[in-house]
Amino acid sequence: MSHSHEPTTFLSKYVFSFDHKVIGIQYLITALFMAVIGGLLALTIRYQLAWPSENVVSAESYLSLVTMHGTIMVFFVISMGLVSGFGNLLIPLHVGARDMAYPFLNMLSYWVMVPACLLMIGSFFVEGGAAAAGWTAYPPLSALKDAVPGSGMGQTLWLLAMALFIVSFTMGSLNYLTTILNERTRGMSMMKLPLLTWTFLISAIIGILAFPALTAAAVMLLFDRHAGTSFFLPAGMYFEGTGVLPNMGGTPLLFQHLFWFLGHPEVYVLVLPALGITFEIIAAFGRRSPFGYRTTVYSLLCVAFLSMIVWGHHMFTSGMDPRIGEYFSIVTVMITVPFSVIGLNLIGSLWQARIRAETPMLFALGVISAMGMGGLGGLYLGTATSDMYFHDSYFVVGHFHLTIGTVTFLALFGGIYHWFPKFIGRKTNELLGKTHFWLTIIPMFAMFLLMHLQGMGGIHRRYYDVTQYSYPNASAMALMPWISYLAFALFAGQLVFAFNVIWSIFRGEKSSENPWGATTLEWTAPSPAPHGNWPDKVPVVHRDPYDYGSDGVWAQNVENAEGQA
Amino acid sequence: MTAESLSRPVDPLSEAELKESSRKVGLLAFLSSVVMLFATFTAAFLVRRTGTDWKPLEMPEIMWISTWLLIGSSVTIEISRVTGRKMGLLVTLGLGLAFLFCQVKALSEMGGFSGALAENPHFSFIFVLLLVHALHLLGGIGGLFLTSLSSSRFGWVVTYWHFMGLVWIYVLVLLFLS
Repeated sequence: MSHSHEPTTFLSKYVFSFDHKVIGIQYLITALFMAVIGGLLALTIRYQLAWPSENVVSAESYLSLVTMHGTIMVFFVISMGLVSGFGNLLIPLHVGARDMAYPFLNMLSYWVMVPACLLMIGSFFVEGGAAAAGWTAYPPLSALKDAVPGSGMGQTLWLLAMALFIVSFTMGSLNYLTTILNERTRGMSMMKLPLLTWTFLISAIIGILAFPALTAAAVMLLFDRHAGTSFFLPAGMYFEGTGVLPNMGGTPLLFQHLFWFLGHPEVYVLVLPALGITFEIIAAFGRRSPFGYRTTVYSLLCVAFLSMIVWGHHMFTSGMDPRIGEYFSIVTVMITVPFSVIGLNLIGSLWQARIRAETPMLFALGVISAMGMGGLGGLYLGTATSDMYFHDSYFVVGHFHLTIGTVTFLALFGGIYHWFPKFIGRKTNELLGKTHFWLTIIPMFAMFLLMHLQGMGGIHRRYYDVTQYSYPNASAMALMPWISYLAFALFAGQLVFAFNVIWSIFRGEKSSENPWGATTLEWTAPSPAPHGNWPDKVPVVHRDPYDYGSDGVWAQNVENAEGQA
Repeated sequence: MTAESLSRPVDPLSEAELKESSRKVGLLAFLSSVVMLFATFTAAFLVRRTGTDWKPLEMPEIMWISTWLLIGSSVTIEISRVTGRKMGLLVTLGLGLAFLFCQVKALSEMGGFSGALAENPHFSFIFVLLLVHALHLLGGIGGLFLTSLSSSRFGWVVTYWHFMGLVWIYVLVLLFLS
């Protein structure tokens, strides 16, 4: 058995470890480190927006900041933290396995991610600065090396880093999928899996099927950049100095389609595990089984399917045929059906719950409200008619920050507080945790809701200096510095989190095996879980994942009532 | 313990059986990712060839040779699998390398990495698709090499090799016969 070969050297134990828990923590730390960088970029952006006359950055670097903030947050913080981090930590423990199906591949996937991060960060320091074509990397800005300063070396490094990211993420997804389908312990049928593991399974499937589209697009983009081909470059592009470029016949719209074929499913790769974490937390802190296990699973599958056929709603204003726009509108709004089921199940799970409002639970409740409010804005953007007005405005910025920003960050924090005792063996400080919650949720909601208003007032996203335009509504403009103050407050509030985590690693209250009285299998392993997860035999599953009965609470491996301690 | 609580598929699997079955699941997932990759190129190809600058090229003769080489390599790997002789893997490996050589030759005959690549969009697609397929085949060649050295069973490499042969025939049909 693999668990008998416990690694002994420092390198094999902490650096090139095959152990899913070590790799998960490596991913989480890397993601949090990237989050600090992404956050600092955001603060610089906010400073420029609120006080444009001070010109804290140049117009070109402003575009780089926006691009890199988006790329880092979406791929290198949320994907890496929620999916790779928690996926690695929890999947084997949830299914009752000693490790991932392919431990070596798992180690490799992390060590492919590290150079991807380094390339992304390094691209700030090359000539011309980091990529500036937006996190969506639309051509021609991303395809012509001389378009803007960031289109040069910065964009090349961006593409290479993304290629490594995709390779790493695909290796991870293969591991999650195989582990969940194949390494389940005795008795662990699919319908006994914790909901979080279901969301990991579905996001792995989406990742495996959707990321290749971006790979193909990136390959063609590299050829456009370095071999002079015209996959995405149309005829008649004019440059001062060089004149009309020789490219012919390509279409930037093709890239947009390929990008969003990945880009839209990707947001579900992020949001679904966030909801999964929420389900786990509200079950443990509400002391009841989440409402509608099966309908949740089926709805998740529906969402996954629909997520792959709605990408065009990012392109309503691209001049697409209105009939195609209508199709994309209809399927987009259709997503509200399974999503409402999930949302109602989350809310229904609070009905008659015996809520213990500890830190993880607060974050979970925050996720539910952020998803509800964020989803509301989605209705306006999913409908082609209203999107014509809102497109590329701060309404969109507010919307996606409230959904894939707030929902996922709250779930990330909630997850860290919830599973901290399991992997560190100590609890975090409750008072600091609650303080962190309020310092996070208030500025986040205020900021992003106000951005919706700014968008309605006509403020355009990605503008270096919005004060130069006369059309935006004056009161919407006046909100700019306030949103920036909130952003600074949000960042400052995270210091509480940093202090809490670091302090608790060394001084936190020691935790028992199952500090929250939860029922899924990870809580039957010691805290912190050892190499191989369970010191003796792997548990055998006899019960549903959330058996909070009226006669008592039963972990999944409890065979009968006498077995309960 | 009720029957329902034991609906974990086959139970209990031995460690070796579990490894083998995990390998199949992982391979299937990886191949579906490869399918999506080529599907994306297909979509791009179908869109791009409606452009006004599209100048279709004839298939170079040498690609018939490379195609037969790859089909032959699938036959030899199958013989090797059925008879259990690892020697056949090295024959397959040789045929695979010969295939790659023919592909490189076909590309350089058509203009190689020069102006032609930029001028003719059909050639751009031929170049990119041949390259992407060749890179995947190189993975298979690496797998053949490792499998021929190890004492273990044939593993994923046979399925993967057949699959890459099918992908090549698909690419050929897409590029020149569709």
